[in-house]
Amino acid sequence: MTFGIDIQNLTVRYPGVTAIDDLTLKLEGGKIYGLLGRNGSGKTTLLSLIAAYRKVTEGTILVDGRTPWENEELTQEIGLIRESSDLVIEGENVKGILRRSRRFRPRWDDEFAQRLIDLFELPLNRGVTKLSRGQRSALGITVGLASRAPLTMLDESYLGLDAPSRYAFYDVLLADYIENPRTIILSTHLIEEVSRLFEQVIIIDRGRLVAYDDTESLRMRGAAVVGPAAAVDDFTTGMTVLGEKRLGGTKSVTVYGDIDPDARSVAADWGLELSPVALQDLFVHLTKGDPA
Amino acid sequence: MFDDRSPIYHQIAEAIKNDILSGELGADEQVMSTNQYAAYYRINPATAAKGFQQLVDEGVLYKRRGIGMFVSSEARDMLLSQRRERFFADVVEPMVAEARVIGIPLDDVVARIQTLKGRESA
Amino acid sequence: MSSLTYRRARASFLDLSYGLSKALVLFVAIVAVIFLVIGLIVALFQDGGDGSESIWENSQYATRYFPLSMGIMITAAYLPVAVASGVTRRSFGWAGSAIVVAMAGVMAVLEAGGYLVEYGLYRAVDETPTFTTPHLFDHGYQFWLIVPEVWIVVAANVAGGWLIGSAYYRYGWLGPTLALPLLLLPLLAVEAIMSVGWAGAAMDDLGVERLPVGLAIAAAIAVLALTLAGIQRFIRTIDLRPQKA
Repeated sequence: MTFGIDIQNLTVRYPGVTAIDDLTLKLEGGKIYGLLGRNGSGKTTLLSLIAAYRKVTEGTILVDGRTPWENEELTQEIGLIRESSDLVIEGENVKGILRRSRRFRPRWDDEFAQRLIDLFELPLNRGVTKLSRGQRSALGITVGLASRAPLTMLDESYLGLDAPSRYAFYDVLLADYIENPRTIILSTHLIEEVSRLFEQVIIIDRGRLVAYDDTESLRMRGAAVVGPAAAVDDFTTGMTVLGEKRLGGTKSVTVYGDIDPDARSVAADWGLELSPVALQDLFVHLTKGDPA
Repeated sequence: MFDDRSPIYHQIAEAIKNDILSGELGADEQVMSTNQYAAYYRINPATAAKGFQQLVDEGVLYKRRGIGMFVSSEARDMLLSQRRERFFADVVEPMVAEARVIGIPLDDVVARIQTLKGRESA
Repeated sequence: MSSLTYRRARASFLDLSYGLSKALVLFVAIVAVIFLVIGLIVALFQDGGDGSESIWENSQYATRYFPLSMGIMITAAYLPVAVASGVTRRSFGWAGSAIVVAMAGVMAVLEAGGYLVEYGLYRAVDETPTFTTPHLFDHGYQFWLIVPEVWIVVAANVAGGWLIGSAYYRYGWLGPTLALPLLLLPLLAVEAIMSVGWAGAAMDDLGVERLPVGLAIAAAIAVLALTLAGIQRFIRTIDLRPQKA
C-alpha cells in the first residue's frame, strides 16, 4: 500500500518569516523521493504538516486523497521521524520506544526491528538520553522503517551516523522498499551519497519549490560551460545562469536547462567544453543566496 | 561504478553491453533482475528498470514473462557491429586530432601501431 | 467515539499508565512508609492526652500535589510521542482524561485505606482521630465519603496540572505564567464546591454555607467534566513544537 500526496498553495508563516511560500506539489505513491533544501528552507515544516504534527492554516494537503489532520485512520499510516527526538521521553530505554511503536503502528514488524537493532548495535536497555547522536539517529531509522507506514518520511535521519552505518542504512532501506513498496521521502543535504536512491528529487528553497523532476533528468539538466570568457558569455546569453567563476581568460558558467544538440555543436565549434554538473553542485547553485 | 557524466540508466545499459561483448554474459543467459541490480549497486529500482528497458528496446535483452530477462542470441553480433561502426569516429579520429594538437607526427602514430601489430602477430 | 478512536485511545491510555506507573508506585510506597514512621515516632514519644489528631490527614497534600505535577507532564512529555506514533490529539485527549480519573482513583483508595488503618490503630488505644481541615467526612472509617472526596479533588488537581502543562507547551512560559490564576480556576472551583483544601478553609472562615454532600459531589463532577472537555478541545489545536536545534 502506498500513499500519494497532493499539496495545493500551501503557506506557513512564522513570526517574521514565511517558512512555506505558496507551495504546490503533487507526489505519486510508491516512489522514493529526495527532499533537498538548505537548513531553514522549510523541509521540516513541510514534512511536519504532511504528518499532521502541525495544522495547515493556508492551502491544502491531501494524503491518499484525505486530510491528515486529526484523521486517525490516516495518521496511524503516516510516519515521520524528525531527528528522532519526538519519539523519546526522558527515562525511557530503547526497548520502551520499540514497545510504543509496536502498540501504535498497525504494520509494525518486530522481526525487522530486531534486525535493525542488531545492524546498528543499539543497546536495548540503555536509556534514550544516554544514547549518542548516532545511536539516536539509528533508533529513529529503526522506528521509521519497521513501522512500514505506507507514507514514511525521514528528516535528516542519518545525522551522527558514521559512513559504514549510513551505507548500511541505505542498503536496508532499499532492500525493504523493494520488498514492501511504499512512498518514502528522505530529506537531506548530503546529496551525493543518496541521490541514486531517489527516483525523484524535490528541491525547495525559502519555502518555495525550486526544482522537481526525475533524479536523472535533473542531473542532466545542469551543465558547466568552460572556455574563453568572451565565447562563454556569448554562448550562455539567454540561458539560466546559476553561477560563474573566472580564472584569467577562462570562464566557467553553470547553466540550468536543456541544451539541444544544435547548441552542443555550436559549443564544440567555439572551443567550449560542456560538462555535467553533480547533483550536489546543482543543488548548491539552485539554492544559493542569502539564507532565509 | 557510476559517475556523473551521463544518466545512471545509460551507464547501467553500457555496463551490461560490456559484459555481453566480453563474453561474461552469453546468449540466452539470464541477467540479474532489476531489483537485484538495484540493491547490489545501491540505486533506485526504477532507474535500474529504465536501463534494462532501454536494452529490451534495443533488442539486446528479451523478457520472459514471470521469469526474467535474458540476453538475446543476436545481441553480441549486434553490439559488435555497432561498436565497429563507431570505432573510427569515437577512437581513431579523436586520437588523430589530439596528436595534431600536441604535435606528434601522424607517421609516428602509424609506426607505433605497426610495432603493436608486429608484437601481436609474433 | 468510533471504534478506531476507542482502540487508539485505549492504547494511548495503556502507554501513559505504563510510563507514569513507575513513579506512581514509588510515590505510594514512600508516602506509606513516611506516615508509618511518623506514626510510630508519635506513638512512642507522645503519651496519650491530645495525641488524637489525625496524622494521616497530612498525606492529603502529597496525594494532591504529586498527581498535579504528573498532570503537568502529560502533554509536554507524552503528546509529542503520541503524535509521532500516529495517534491523533483526540485519542490522546481521551487517554489523558482516563489517566486523570485513574490516577485520582488510586489516590482515593490509598487515602481511604490509610484513614481506615489509622482509625483502627487509634481505636485500639481508645483514641479517635480528629481532623484539622474541612472534609465531607467526620470519621476515618467513612470510606464511602472519603473515596468520592479524594477522587474528585485529586482528579481536579491532575486536570489542573494537565491544563497548566498544556498551556505552557502551547504558549511558552510568559503568557501562562501571567494567566496562572485563571488556569487554576477550575481546580479552585472544585475545591470550593467540595469545601475542602484552601478554598474550603477560606469558605469556612467566611462562614459560607456548605452544599449538601450529594449536591456538592454532583456539581464538582460537572465542573471536572467541563474542565476535561475544555482541555480536550484545547489539545486538539496544539501543533508539535519545532525541533530543538
